Amino acid sequence: MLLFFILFVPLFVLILLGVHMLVATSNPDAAKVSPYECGMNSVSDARQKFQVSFFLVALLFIVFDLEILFLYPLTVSLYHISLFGFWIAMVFILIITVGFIYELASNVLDYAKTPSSKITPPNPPRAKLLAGIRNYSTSSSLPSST
Amino acid sequence: MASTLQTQDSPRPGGFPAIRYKRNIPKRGPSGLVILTGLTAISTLGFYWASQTIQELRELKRERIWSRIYLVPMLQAELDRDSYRRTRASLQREAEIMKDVPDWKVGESVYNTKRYVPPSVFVLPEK
Amino acid sequence: MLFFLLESFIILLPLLGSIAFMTLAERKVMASMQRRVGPNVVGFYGTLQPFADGLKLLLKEAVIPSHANKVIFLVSPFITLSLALMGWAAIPFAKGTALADLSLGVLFLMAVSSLGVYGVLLAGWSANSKYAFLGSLRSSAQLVSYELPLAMVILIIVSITGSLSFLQIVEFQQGVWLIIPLLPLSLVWFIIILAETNRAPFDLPESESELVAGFMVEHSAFPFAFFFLGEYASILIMSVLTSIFFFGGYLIPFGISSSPFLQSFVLGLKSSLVFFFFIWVRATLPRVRFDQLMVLCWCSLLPLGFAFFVLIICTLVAFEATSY
Repeated sequence: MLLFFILFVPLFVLILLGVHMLVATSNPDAAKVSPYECGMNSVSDARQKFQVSFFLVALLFIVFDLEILFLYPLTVSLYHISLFGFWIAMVFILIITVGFIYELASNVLDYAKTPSSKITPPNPPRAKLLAGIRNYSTSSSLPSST
Repeated sequence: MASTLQTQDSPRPGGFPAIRYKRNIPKRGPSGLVILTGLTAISTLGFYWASQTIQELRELKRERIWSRIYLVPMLQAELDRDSYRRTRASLQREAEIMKDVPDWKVGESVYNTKRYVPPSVFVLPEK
Repeated sequence: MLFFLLESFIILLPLLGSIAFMTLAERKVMASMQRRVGPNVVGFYGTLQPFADGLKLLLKEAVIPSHANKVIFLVSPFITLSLALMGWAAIPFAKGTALADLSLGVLFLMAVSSLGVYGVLLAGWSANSKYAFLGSLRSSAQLVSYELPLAMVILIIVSITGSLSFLQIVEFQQGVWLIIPLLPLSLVWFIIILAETNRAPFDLPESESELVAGFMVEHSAFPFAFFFLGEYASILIMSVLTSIFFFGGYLIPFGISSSPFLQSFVLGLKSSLVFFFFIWVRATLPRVRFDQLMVLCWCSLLPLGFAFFVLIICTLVAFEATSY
């Protein structure tokens, strides 16, 4: 039944989409199919560099989601594993906590404070340029100062 | 010469009402400590009930398991009795069918061993 | 086969109908909160408004932008709606009335709902519009981050009930509704479900004033309707999950035994109240900033979840109340 439902739901949605394709009008023109940018002509491709924090969030998510998944078997077998298993779990959570504190302390998630605001410029024009690059860079491995 | 009556600028009879210097801040609800205590109290009570439930469910499950365990010898005995009856019936059938074959030993094991091999085929009654 | 088909439709059609009426309820309730009238022309007091909207979207032209990846552009709303509807297989509507009573139902639902990020991601990427791209970045970061505290809360509930099956979680609550022992955690849960379904005050992906409509800005007509339906289906599933996890699911308080019909009615009533909470919050609170959103998740809710988890398994072990 579950398998049937899982297979049937996409089919159902596909049928809805097909009905729409049959019924709806379609007369596109150049202005209609241009990318939406509040009435302006779009100047460049939308797939640009983005802030590195988004990428870091994804990385951290993988790590923490795996750690939480490791805890699921613990919860359903808490009775069977006795006190020994419980303490093993506590050690595991302690290690997670250490990693978590490291992650918080390294300011990974500071969206508001971009790297540019942290640099104290020793050589203003060049640092300004670097900060400008950093703002739009996906990589955080640029040299911070001269 | 009647001088103009000088009246001192004194408070009106009964005095002025007290100055309302107190700010009228609407009540923001109970303080943080009260909320914390309340939450802790409610959760503690809830945990007491939850632990009661857990104990009860554990007891029910334990009862289910042990009732099964106590039932096992009886079920085993029933199975043994049944398989013995079936074996006897099968031997009788074999003797009946193979009575014309001269060298046939009824009940001879088809396996090349002298150990007891539990029967793998049961003949169910025809409808 | 025919029976399977019938069963699927018994789930799907009322589901789509309730989504339609949810949109109407949202508009009406928000109108009342803002001293407006709301939709009141189509049908009796505007009851047919959602169907009129749906029909309009069905007949509108689906514009596919010239720079878009056309296949992914159409596949992403398809993925979103399919996954949002698929999760309903594991929900018990009354005792013994689930499409599939999975012993790992919670895991199934979490798997299906976390796959929903793909729809958002692909939509924003394929549309090739800057608003859509930014919206999908924000939305996927938000969905992905808030999944951790969500998983944490579910972990705590599972550790108390000792089962990953929805039916057993509900049956456990014949003793006590889990909102009473987990009252602080339920507040965390209410924040998380708002963020996980991209609702105000956490509706950053589609913040109208900055990103127009977020990742679905280029989608029109039925592909847009798919996103819309998917979003409301996930709101509905979160409401039902809330009532299953915290409010005793289909159970009627004070131990009144009842028929499956009444039980499913009670489940619907509880879910409707939770959905009213969704609308109420939307009409009340202003939107937060994106960095505040992420800090709230990673620096408040997740540590709180971990701490609560440790507290609860320690309590269970200390009082020898671990579930068998």
